[in-house]
Amino acid sequence: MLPYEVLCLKSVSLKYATTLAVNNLDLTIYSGEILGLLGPNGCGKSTTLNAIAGNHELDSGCILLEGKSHSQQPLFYRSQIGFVPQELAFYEEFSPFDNLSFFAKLYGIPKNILPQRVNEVLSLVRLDDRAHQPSRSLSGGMKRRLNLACALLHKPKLLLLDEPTVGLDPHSREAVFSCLNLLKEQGCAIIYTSHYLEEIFRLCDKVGIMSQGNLLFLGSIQEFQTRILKKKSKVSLPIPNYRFSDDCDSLLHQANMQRSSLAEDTHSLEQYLIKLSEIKAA
Amino acid sequence: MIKNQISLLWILALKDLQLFMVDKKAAVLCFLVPIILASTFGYVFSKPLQNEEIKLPLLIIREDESPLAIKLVEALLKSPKLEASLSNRLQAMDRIERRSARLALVIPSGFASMISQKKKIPSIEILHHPASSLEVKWAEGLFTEIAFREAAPELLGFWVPGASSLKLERPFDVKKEQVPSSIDITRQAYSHSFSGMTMQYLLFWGMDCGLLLLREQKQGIWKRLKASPVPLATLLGGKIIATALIALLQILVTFSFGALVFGVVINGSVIGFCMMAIATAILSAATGLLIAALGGNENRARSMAILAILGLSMLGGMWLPSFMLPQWVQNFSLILPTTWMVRGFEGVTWQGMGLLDASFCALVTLLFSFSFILFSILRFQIASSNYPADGVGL
Repeated sequence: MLPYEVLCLKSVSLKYATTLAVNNLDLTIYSGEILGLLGPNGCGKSTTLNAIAGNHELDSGCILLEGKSHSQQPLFYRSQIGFVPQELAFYEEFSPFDNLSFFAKLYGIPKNILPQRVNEVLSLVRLDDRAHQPSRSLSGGMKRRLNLACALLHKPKLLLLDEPTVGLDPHSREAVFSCLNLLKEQGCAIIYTSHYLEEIFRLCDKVGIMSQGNLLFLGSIQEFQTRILKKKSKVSLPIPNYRFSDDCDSLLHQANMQRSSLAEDTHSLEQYLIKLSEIKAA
Repeated sequence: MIKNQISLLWILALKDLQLFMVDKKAAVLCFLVPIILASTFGYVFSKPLQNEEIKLPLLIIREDESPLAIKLVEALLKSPKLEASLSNRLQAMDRIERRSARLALVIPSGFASMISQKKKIPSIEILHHPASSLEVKWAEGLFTEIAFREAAPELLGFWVPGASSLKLERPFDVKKEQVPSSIDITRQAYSHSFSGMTMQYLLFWGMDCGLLLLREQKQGIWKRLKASPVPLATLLGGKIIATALIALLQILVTFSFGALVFGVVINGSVIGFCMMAIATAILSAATGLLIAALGGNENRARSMAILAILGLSMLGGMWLPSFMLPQWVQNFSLILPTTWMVRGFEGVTWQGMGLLDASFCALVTLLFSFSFILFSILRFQIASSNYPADGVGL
């Protein structure tokens, strides 16, 4: 099946009181495509995801999902989206099976296929052996996977993931990646926010860089590497509170460097990337 | 469409009911606490009422050595209506100050001589604690009755010719009749406490459910629910149904216990009682929603709600019957939902309220509930478009 346009953001702006959270954002995503959104804390990534999910009114512009806006058909619009918030948004008192059953019912999955669909999703996120344990007894990684699973039950056309791998162990991260790749193969469009550059490089087809509500860069990973890493872009992105991934830690270890020294040397994203590529090359 | 929304409402409500049942001990406590509260209050308030022979505790200070004073003191000590004991002024004042006695009656020096000299009407003194002004009137009446009965010739002989052989007995009998006759005063105390304490607990239950909603919001669950194809009103409706169903069950369990153990009965309309139970359960849920809508975050909402609930309970007559409150409080409390809740429940239980009056109380309670719900939904809708996604907004 040929890729088709799933989501289109046209001149989207969002304000909180007097603060401009998202400014004039244009974005298009096709089926089977993964867009990675990068940027420091408070740059507008989560707000953008929430706006796409229909949780916030827009101040201007429009968001079209398969050509339909949220205001036109809110229930249809939301039924096409799977939303994975940053927080572990499920009931810890319930088992994974009961959690998924509840969310499946909200999305109108018929009773006769509900248990089968729940089991499919549990197996997709590799939680089938923990299906009936209380969710609060799961490990952090398992909880993250359950958080993802809750958004997959209704086979969404668009999946929104807000930093889904925060605090994940390598095994759980692999499970999430393989799951996302499978969804991509099935034609699901995915928007993925992260602080981990390595994750974005590995997983995404397109990358967007946000700062202070503005989309500073949007393009393919190849374009990103060419323009940003080879200093052909004027993008200068401050990276306060930048989080370092395990891969980065391992590289730093190999290069006999400390995290703090890297942070001191890099005051912008491109500097960080250049530094990281230098370390990799070394 | 409507069928689908009803089905969603039930799915959401069922989820909350299941969450309630996860911690079984907490669920049992939820039913036990109002029973314990109501039973304790009922016991405390029914005890003095049960005892028909209430005696007024009174210290007697005799500063007059006359035979008349001695005779009066003896009569007071013997009176079955008094729990009298002798004391002196200093000791009595000390005891009253420390509240180990409420009042003391002083027969001052020269009491009898003043009568015999016809110069001036003598005085007796009553020393009392500021909180015992009601008992002062009681003591005054009893002393007058006893004095006239026991010492009429001495008291009036100098004033009324031929009074030396006078013996003043009350020339009438007092028949006591309670209206309505069917009401047992002990049951009344329990009925009041079961109505008041259950209602108060239900408001706290509503608060708890409101706080749970704020917790869900903090945990991100609310964000996920809002992103699902379920309208906001349905999401809130599910919460209301679950909270109200549990509240209704609490009313039934608490009043059933009251009926079985303390004889709390429905003297008025049974249908009226059911209507009041449903209206009150909905009000409990609506209060919770209002708390969540106005509270902002869990801690702020909790403090605000405790203050509001305790205030509403007190002013609405859930602690003490409203007729014991000052008139201006009684007038003011008509604008509070709690007044109508208590009025309805007390009405149908011990006051024998009919269906029409009970329906009116239930209707007013429901009007309060629906306005709370409507306001909350509007507030949630406004808040969801105004607050940051990562903040404490709705």
